[in-house]
Amino acid sequence: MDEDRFYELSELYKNPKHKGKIENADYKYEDFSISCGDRFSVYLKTEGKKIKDASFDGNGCVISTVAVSKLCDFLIGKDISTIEKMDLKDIENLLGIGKISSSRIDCALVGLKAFKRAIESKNSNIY
Amino acid sequence: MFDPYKVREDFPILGRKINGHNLIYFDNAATTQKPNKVIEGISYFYRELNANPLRSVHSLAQNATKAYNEAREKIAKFINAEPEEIIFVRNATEAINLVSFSLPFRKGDSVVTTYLEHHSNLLPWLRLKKNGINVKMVDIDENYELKMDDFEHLPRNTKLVTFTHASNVTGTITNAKKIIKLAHEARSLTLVDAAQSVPHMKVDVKELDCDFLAFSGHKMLGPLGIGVLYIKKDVQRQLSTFMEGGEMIQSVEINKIIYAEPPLLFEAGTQNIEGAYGLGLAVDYLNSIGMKNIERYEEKLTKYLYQKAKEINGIEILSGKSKQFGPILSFNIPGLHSHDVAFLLDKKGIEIRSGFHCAQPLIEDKLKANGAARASLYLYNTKEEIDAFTAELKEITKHLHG
Repeated sequence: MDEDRFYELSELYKNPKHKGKIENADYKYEDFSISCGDRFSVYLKTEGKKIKDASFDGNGCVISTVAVSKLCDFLIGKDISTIEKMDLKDIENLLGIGKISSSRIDCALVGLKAFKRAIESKNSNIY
Repeated sequence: MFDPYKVREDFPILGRKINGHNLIYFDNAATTQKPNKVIEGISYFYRELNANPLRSVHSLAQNATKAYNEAREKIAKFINAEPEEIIFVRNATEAINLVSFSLPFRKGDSVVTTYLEHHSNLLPWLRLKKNGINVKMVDIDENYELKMDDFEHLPRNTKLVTFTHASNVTGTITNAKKIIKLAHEARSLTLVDAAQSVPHMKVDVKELDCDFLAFSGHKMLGPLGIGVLYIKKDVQRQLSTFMEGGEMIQSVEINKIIYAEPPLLFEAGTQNIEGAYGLGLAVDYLNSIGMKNIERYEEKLTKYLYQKAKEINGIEILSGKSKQFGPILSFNIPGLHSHDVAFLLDKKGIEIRSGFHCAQPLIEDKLKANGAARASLYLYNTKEEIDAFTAELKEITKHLHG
């Protein structure tokens, strides 16, 4: 990722879309963190298998925050099974960048991992 | 006369390009670069001296044993200890863990540690809570100094007071001598995490009068994987063994084991001889320059770094408020996470650390920040590098707000 693309993403970081808690979410995972300094909660509202709304809350870096924000945007209207099929390549595409550097992979994936965790924990009845 | 430009010639990696720019290495609190003397010394060890030391009678083993013992003597002298008081371990983390596993704590005992600590001087003690050991956390004040009152009123049954000599985040140099005196008055033992102090200043264990002192070789120009635990002679008998196996015994019968004396008692198995030898060479190098010279130069450089950093609009500084502090600048640029700042500086060849620096309770609970960017200096850094670093920070803030 070059600096110009980074500064474009940092514009989205100032006021990211889909930030805020969804009350009565059907799926949620709170305070998820994998790399130092990122901590996100994620929420999904579903109707049948369809994702009606997706959101996140918390703080992270430009990469993690813009990635989870764009992921929410992408997921709305999709089938819930979309999430488990997604991987790093999909996040790189959402961010509009080529291969992300190895030190930022955790940042790029933290939102997706939180959503995957939300679904797993619902299925295993943690909530 | 100390000449940083001359010093730089001893460090081959400093000539490297990163992303098309000259490397500016400002992550010295994480690990330092190595001089030729250490790099070539390790190769020399394997070309000329390598054998399993201590036990074998052959000549080569005697060479390896001599190299190992001489390294121990050099390191002992460096901190004014006796060679028998120097235990080789992997790093400061292992040193502190050794004490946490080997000191006989009893239910109801207290351990006193502080909010300034690196996780390595926190987690080994928090682990003891499940055995019924109380862990008291000493707080910091608004100038990032430890609250000395707490050391004057230690909990009853305090067995150990353990604290950092220099913080890897705020840079705070603590009043170790006074804390140790207060702890001893309360009949407690004392452990000093000196990972960030021994590389930068003259540390004298006899003057401090601490019972344990831990540091890592790789933060003081030595190789990775070698560290030191100093254990005061009078205290050594109180510790049980940490690991058992080869080299730490005199005689083994199934029903009767006679252990070796310290330091070997605490060094089970074949040790990192290459590492100890390399650390000895790093100590030689530091001595050849002089710790006083290093301290004086770093103080000047740090002052310049803060002066330039404070000229940058909007930068939040999270270090350097204490009476004394090391060559560390922790900061945030509002509107960016510290990882993003590190990412952007790296594009210009400037290597800094970001995140929690293994001190999450300090950064989150006390400094109320979601991570911090950190520039940390050493003897080979220069004013020109600081100029390039602060100019780049200015560019970043201009981009964000421009």
